[in-house]
Amino acid sequence: MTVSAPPLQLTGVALTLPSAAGPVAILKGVDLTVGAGERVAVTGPSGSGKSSLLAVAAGLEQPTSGQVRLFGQDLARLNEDGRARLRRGRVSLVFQSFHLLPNMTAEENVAAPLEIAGARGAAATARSWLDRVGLGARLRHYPHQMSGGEQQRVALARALAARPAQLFADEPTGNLDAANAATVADMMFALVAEVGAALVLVTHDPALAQRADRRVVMGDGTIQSDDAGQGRPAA
Amino acid sequence: MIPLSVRFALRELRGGVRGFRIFLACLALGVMAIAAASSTAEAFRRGLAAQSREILGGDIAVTAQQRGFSAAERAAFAQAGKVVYSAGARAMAQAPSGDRRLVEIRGVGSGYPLAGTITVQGAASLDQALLPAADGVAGAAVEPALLDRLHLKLGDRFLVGDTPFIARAVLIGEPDRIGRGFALGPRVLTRLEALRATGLIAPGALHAESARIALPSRADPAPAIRRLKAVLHGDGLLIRDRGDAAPGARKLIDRLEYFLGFIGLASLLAGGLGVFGAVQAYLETRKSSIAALKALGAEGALIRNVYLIQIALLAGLGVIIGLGLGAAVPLLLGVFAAGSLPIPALFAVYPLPLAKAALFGLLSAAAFSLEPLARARATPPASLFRRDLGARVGFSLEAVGAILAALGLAALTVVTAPTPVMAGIMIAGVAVSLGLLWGLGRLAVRAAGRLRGRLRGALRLGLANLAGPRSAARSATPAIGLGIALLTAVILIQSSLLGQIRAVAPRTAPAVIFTEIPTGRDAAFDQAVSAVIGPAGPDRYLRFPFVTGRITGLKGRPLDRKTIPQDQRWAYDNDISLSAIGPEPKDAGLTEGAWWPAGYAGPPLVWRPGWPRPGA
Repeated sequence: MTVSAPPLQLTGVALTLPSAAGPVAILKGVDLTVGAGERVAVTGPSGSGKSSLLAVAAGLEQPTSGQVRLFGQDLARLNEDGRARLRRGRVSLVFQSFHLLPNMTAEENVAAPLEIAGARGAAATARSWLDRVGLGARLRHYPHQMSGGEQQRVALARALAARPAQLFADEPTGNLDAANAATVADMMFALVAEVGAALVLVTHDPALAQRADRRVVMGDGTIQSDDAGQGRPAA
Repeated sequence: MIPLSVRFALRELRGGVRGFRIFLACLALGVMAIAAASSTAEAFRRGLAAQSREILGGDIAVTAQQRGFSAAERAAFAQAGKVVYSAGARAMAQAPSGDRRLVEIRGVGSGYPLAGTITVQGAASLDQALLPAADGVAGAAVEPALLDRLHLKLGDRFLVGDTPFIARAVLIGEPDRIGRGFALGPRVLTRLEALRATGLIAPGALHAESARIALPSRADPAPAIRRLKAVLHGDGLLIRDRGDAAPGARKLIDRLEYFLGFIGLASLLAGGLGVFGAVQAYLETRKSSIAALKALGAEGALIRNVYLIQIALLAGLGVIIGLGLGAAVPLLLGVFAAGSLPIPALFAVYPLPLAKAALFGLLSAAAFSLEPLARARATPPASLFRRDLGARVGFSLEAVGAILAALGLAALTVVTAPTPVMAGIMIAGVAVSLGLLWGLGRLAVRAAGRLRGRLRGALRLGLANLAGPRSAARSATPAIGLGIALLTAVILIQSSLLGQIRAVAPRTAPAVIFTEIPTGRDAAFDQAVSAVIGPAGPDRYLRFPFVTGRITGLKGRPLDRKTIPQDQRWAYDNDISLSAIGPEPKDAGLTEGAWWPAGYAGPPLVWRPGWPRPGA
């Protein structure tokens, strides 16, 4: 029997960033392992290092010390292009401010990561995923022609169209009203479960965090609590 | 299948060119200036080349200064082809009213012109115009300026020297006028024999004689010139062929093209900094898209290529706009000013000058865009979380490309310049200026950073912006500085020239000059002048001997032209003016050596065989 490596493993990760007032320690020795298909909510007060933890875990930011292993690969051994290749088709991100490509239509935005990964039929896949998030009629619309909720649904389709193994979501409902936030959250949990991706969800919303399998609370750059192994609530 | 980078680039371009207006304007203006200067110069060159035979007056022209041709020389010319002789001199023309005017009188032999046509008004032909009157007075075709100045009309008589002429026709155009260069006075055209009768082309007088030769079947003139040179032995002979019909006009066109082109290049460089700023500002607006693409798995090379394609397409658009405007300038000149141009021109769209301008534009765009592209390539995806996170770019492929493009610009400037050394100096000047201005920009940013803490209100905010990481001072200072330096240089050159003419020339230049005062009548002339202006002291009146000649030897050795560098031959190819004067005048401008003493009686300072020894 072979034991496959967990999708994400952080060991003693520290991140110190320069500032005008001197170096600021953002993460101070974080250990975190996320299993395949596991849904982890990261909560904590503003400035506790949640988003930085996500950036480091996704390979967008290089830690000052410690080790980040994504699908068993030590990110420190890869350069930026190497990390981008590692993410391609396997890691997706959803951001609070959507970060859709403004000059691309909804269809092209969803197809973009598939095209970068060299997948065939990217446009058809994009259309089917936009259908699934209820935007089948908005294929040719540009981000500025859509509401915030619609943009985040496009972002969700873009993140999951490649059927990634790992999804990072940074406050995905933070910029949405309650109704849209609920719709996006429902879709996210349903679709993540469908593709079988692991989820690291940064949120301030306790209700949203409750829908995850596991909750990690951060404070002052460290993990204050982690309810790993305490049961998985219903999605 | 269209490559991914092209697909993404085309999608990105849907955002329009609003952020690229400055980019397009900078590039289009510089390319337009270079294309217009080069295309106009090419139109003049083609015009000169198309009419080279007419401008020269034949296939070969041989000119002798201050002497006539020998029988041997005439025989050699006759052997080469059909020959027409002419001679020219400067003299005073006088109307019956007593009005006088310096004229350029030219006598032409029968068969003139060998090439092209002469245009006269008031007579059926040149032959008719030059026919002598019943009493033997020679006919002449004269320029309208002479008729105006002397208040003459056709049919009136006037004197050149002591010889009467009759103005039979108005001289409108001679085919070989440009080839003969600048004229000091209105032109008078008559028969060669009539000019000889004036005594103006006697030995020792200021005159030139020419032989125009038409080769059989318009053959290549080079072998005929070689044969002529083998027979003739120099002695002040200037031989030109139709390829060198109007050297003065050609040089003028070359220099005008270069200086106008250099202004275009300088504006392209100043604009290049605008290009740099525009590309940098545009890529700054795309930063989150770039970071998002990287987060989605895009490698740096894909990002660079996406924006490189966009910049290349927009640079192409800027160059095309510049080429279109630049190519239109000579065409418009042809439409509106063709009739009043002193030099023949063939206005058309010429690909080579446009290709040169396009190359300048594209190299400039590459030199100034590649560094911001390197920054785009290196944009960290973490800037999705930290907006102000900048890219760290070391020595990159893009930097190599930018340096190569800058070197290409410099090389192209030198290669296309008539004087490479001058081009090199200009490039060095621009490079040093850019460096200094760049340093000043950095200094301004630092100074603003230090000062802002001591100030309040709007001033503090303004300085804080100037000192901030996105301060425009770093790129705007060199761009604005170079633009102002360029304008200043042009205005300074113009005002210096005008100042020289307005202030210096009237102070030092005499109001009236008389030449050709006959030997032996100088005392009478002095008396005549004194009668008009009163006592003629040295501050008001100077008369001195004047001769022209060419340098035929140096330091006792005959001159070998082959040993003289090309750019110094002008000193030996043209007549130089020599004069003598007694005591050293005020402001003589002597830089080395000493003035000869008053009453100098040593070896002759100016003397040639055949002249009487001084004091003899």
